[in-house]
Amino acid sequence: MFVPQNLSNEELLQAYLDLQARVTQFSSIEQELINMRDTLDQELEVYKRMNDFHAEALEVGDVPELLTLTAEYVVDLFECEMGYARVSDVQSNTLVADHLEGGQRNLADRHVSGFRAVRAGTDGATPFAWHEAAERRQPQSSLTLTVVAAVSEVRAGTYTPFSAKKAALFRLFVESCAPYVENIHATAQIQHQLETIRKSELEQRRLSLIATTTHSGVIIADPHGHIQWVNDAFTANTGYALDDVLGLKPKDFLQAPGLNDVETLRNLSRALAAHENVSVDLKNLRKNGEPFYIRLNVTPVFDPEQRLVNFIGIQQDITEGKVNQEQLQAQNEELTKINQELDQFVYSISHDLRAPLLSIQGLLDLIDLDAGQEGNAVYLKMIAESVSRLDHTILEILNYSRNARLDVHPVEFNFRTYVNDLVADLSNLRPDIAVRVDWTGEEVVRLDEVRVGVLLKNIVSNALKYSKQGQEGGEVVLAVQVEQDRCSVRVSDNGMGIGQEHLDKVFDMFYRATQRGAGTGLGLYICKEIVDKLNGTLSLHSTLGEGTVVEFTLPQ
Amino acid sequence: MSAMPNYLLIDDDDIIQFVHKNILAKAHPNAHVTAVFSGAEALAFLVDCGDEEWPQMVFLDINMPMQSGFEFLDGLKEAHPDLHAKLVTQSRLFLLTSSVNPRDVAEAEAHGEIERLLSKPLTVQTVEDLEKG
Repeated sequence: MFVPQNLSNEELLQAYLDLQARVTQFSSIEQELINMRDTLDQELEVYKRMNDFHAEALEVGDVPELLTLTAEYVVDLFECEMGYARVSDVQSNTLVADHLEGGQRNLADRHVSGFRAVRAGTDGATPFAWHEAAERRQPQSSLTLTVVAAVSEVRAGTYTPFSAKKAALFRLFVESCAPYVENIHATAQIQHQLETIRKSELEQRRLSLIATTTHSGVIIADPHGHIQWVNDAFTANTGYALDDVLGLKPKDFLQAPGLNDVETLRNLSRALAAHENVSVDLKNLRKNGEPFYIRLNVTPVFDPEQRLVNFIGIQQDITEGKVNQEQLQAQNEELTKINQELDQFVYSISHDLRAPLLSIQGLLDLIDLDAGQEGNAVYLKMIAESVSRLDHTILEILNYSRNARLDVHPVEFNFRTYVNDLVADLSNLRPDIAVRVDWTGEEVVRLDEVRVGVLLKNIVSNALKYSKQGQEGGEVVLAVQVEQDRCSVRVSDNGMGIGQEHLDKVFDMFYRATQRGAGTGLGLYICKEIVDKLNGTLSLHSTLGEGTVVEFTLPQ
Repeated sequence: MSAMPNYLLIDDDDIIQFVHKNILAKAHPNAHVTAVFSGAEALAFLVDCGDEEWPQMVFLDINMPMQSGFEFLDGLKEAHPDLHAKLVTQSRLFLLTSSVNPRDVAEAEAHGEIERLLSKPLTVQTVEDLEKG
């Protein structure tokens, strides 16, 4: 250091004073510098802590959590006693979220509204005065973030308000915080919307609509078959409410051993195990023990990854139909039985009626063989004729009964041989009439032999019976035509014919067009019945005095 | 046909039995006709029957109260196969019926040992036709 020589005392004192003044000045500058450094250090620390805040805020998933974090940092960064943060929607004027509970929130609200220091609430919370507050509204958003740094009222007097610098930092902090709120809130909203959309998928809406309004019982079960939900119709139908059956399997309470056949139940289990659609008719029990019938449709529901999510069971009450069906079946069985009994009865009766007749007939034959006296012969002939009439009637009643009761029973047989035998047999009645058979087509047919026999016998014997009185050159022609799918027979005679007035009645029961002969009025009626039963056609054309043509066609 | 044919009639109805007996006698005056009224009686007869009296023709009624004609044949086949075999080989078997029950016809067809189903009453003509073959 340079020290000047030869200075006077006064000069030295002056130099000392100057020096002292400079030292003082320097130390004040130094103090200022120190203060500035401290301030800068503090700001730096605030920036650092704000960085920490950003790092932590990035990890936060929902708005309240972010607000709590914000409030904590306000205390930490800005040296106040309480931080408060909230988000409100200015458009709807509602609080979206904050980090406080109950009374404290009311308190903070009052702090925030109007930015005014207020007195303590009555709920025991520490009374706070507002210290500093900042708001940030994100562009294009109705959301506003409000952050308050507060001190208790007792200390409010000793607190220095924020410096301009600190206030600027505070606003910066709040501004940097806002985008997080906006992001998290937007994400949450999108997620909520997605959830809403997922829940309100059209299919589900329809399903739930159907499920709640349908009259069919609906069961929704988990993949193991445990009931998760049933609709009102299910409850109405079975008597079981959801609370009764939640978590149960339907078979645990609707079924009882022996109610359904094993095969049906096995099919159902098999389909469910294979996750297949299945439809079965089941007999179930209501809660009150009453049996009822359902048609159950079970549909497995899969998620997009093809994993089984639910079984949906829809059960339709078919009790009424089933009961009717069972009644009908029982009635049918009863009727079938009665029918068989009746049929047996008819056979027995006919046997009992015919047996003595046949004995009489045999006796008459014997008397005839022994008879020497002419007079007896006439009576015997009459008795014989009466017997044969009676027998004929019984046979016709039997034919009618058989046609009405028995099922059609087609068999393959040689029709030509059959017709020839029949004609030969019947010709014995009237050896004076020439019978001719004209044949076209196959000889073997597939028809109900018994019915066709009755049909032919009736028509041919009519043709023979109703010849002209005293006629010579009487003739009956059978024209038979057998085709692939049908068989027709035309029987024409040149006999007495039928008057026009009778033609539309000849097929009526017990109708007789003539008093002559041994007719019952059943023959053609039975023919008509038989042809109807065999789905064939029957027609009769006749001219009185010229002859009659009867034709039938039968499908085979 | 031998000069003195043997006939066996099995029928519970005594009048028709009488008629048939006489008809057979008319048709064949030398015939020896045995008439029994049930399957049981027929069995008793056949058990004791020597070759000389063995019937060349058997007329069996279907509709009998204790045992039908078919039941008689089935029972014979099971309990006395030798007699049944002899009946099949040495006799002509005819069923007599007064019914026209298709079930009887079907059952007669199912019994191969039955030659024909004949309607009652038998007539001289029928018996003569049978003898001709």
